Amino acid sequence: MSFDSFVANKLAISMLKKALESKRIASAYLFQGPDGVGKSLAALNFAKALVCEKEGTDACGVCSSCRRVDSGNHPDVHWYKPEGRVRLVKIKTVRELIAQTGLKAFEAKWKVFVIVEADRMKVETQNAVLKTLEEPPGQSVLILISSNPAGLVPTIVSRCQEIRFLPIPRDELEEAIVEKWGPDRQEAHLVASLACGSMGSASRLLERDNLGRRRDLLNLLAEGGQRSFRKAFETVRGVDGELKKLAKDLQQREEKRVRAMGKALTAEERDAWLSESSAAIASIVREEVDDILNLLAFWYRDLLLIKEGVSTDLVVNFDMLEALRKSVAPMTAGELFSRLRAVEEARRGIALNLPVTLCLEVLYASGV
Amino acid sequence: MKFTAQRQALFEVLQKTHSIVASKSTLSILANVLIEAAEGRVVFTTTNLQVAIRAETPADILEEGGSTVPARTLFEIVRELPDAEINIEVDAEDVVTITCGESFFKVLGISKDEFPHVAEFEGEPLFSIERGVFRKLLQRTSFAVSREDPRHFLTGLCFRVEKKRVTLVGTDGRRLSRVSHAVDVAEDYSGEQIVPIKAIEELEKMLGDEGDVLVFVSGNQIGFKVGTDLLVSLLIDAKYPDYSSVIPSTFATVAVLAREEFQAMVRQASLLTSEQSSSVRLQFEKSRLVISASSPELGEARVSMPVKLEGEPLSIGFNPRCLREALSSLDGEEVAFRLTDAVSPGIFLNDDDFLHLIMPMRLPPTQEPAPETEESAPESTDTGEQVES
Repeated sequence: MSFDSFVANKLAISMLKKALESKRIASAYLFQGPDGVGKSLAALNFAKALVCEKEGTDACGVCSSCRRVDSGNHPDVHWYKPEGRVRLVKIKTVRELIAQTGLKAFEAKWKVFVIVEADRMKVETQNAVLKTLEEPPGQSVLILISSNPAGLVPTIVSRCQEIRFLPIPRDELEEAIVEKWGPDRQEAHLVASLACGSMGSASRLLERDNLGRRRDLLNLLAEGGQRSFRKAFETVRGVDGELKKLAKDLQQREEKRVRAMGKALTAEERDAWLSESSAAIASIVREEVDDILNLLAFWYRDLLLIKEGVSTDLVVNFDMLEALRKSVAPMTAGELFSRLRAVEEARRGIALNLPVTLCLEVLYASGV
Repeated sequence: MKFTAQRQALFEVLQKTHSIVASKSTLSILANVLIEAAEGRVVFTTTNLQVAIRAETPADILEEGGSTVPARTLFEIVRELPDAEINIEVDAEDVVTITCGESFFKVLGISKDEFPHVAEFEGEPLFSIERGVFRKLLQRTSFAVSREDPRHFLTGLCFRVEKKRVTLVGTDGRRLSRVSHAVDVAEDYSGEQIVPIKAIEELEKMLGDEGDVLVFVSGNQIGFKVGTDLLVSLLIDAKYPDYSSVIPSTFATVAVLAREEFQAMVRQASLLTSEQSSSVRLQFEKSRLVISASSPELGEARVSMPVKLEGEPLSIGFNPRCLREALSSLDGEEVAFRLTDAVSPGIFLNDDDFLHLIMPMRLPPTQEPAPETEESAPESTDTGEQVES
């Protein structure tokens, strides 16, 4: 993987390359933009180029340093991620980061510190990292990654050089999808529309069979009427239940694995591992339910577009155009809009870590 | 790689390298120990990205090579094995086979290419120093170093080599310890390194009693070789502040005290200090020292002892823990406490080569029950600034 193989966000990439070329590396960067558009990959590659033994404008990809960055074992490239049930980058983690910045690099010219989902730091945690962000000791480079920079205090943002990542344009995404997964044209086109410019979202649609779920869901919705909605809703709830069962299985498998490790872990480590894995699994369940709700939201969005007579080019579910036209008749624009809003409300609740079941119940009760 | 070694020797080496292995780390490779077999010896290396420890044992090498193995698993296996020959063999896929008598273990390793590059430090050291002397130098300075501080240089011990002397300085902003000792280096060599206190703590555990410690410096790492064991530490990425301006050279008062009695008295008085009123008052009179403490929530303490005083009588406040730690780092039956006034630092000089400085704490006004607001907190930051400047 090198900078040249990035499908999109050429501007962001060229800024990073220019920094490497002119050897004017900022001490702190904020990579911001929606999920799944290559921020983490760009950070990985930038880190790789900084510690690469060849010291060029891109990572060589073959030297020992590059290979260890790829395997996550380079002593001068440090990743910090959200943890625990509420997915927070903890203050303890940030203190470790601060202590490590105080030391010289282990072997490379630069030491790179990446905070993934930096907006998932509490305000106090963000304040703790401020001073380091302003004047990192020596050859430190901090990279904050965030798809929700509004969650960062302004004093953090102002201390970073911002690198903006944009959603990947639909046709570029379509090309990338064809190249990576090789579906037929029509499916690639559909996935590219549904994925809203996010490679991550495209991969979930294709790899977790969300396309199949979408078909079932939309067919139910297309039947029209209150009953069909109830059925569709039951499907969403079913997905939630199904996922929870899956989560339980996964957790049991983790437990087995931890037990199998036997003496290699202390009791404390075992507990920490298990609670961390259960939190990680729960966050995947949230993501999945959110994806399904997103499909629901697209349906109402499309209906609203058709109701208002906007060009059908903008319709995401273009393969269901007939069904959409049929369903739109009995509903007013106001109704559609409030349904769309109710779905978005449920998604926001999920993003805020409210219990998924609760969010779904509220959505249902809102009389959608 | 393939070698045979005695269980006891292997166990001792693993024990040395084991203490710093992180149980949880962002880099999975750090849970592993690097094993390299060549030229009749096997070298084990572990690191936590701050400190690396390398120890070796002679072994019967059947095939040279290297790999990394989960450190804790290997350690526990070797611990449980009986005292006999242990065979360790690693294949090209880094699968490690350990056999000993009837016991057989297979452990999945990781390629040694993944392991961080720890400096080798073979050849000529920067200087060497007798272990006992070195231990004393560390003991007298390391306790003054801050364990956690956003000002990174305060969390390390400064090694400065200049004019054929090594000077060690440790400070947490409220007190400072400085020792120096003659070493054999090139006349014109000078250099300064700040070594993290955590590395010093590991080093203190490693020091035996006899022989020399060899000190190596290369770029970002410093190495201490004790026998065949090597401790490598990353250096702190900062410049050590110029502290010389805070060390006074003239004093208004010199108090000579019996060291152990002084320490005991401070300990007694400190029983009635609390988090809010944490200082003890030292009132130096012509031939007596009165040590007192009071805190509104606990009560008062007053103890006294004889003193030989030269110069002006004086009242001054100190943190009792700092005083006690300073006194235990000193030698001799008597100590001379040099003071200027209530807001200037106090100094102990053991001999020419050891200096310990303590910043005073502001005392509450006399006779009144202590008003708590202007106690130590603001003062300690002030003095911290002073030490840094």
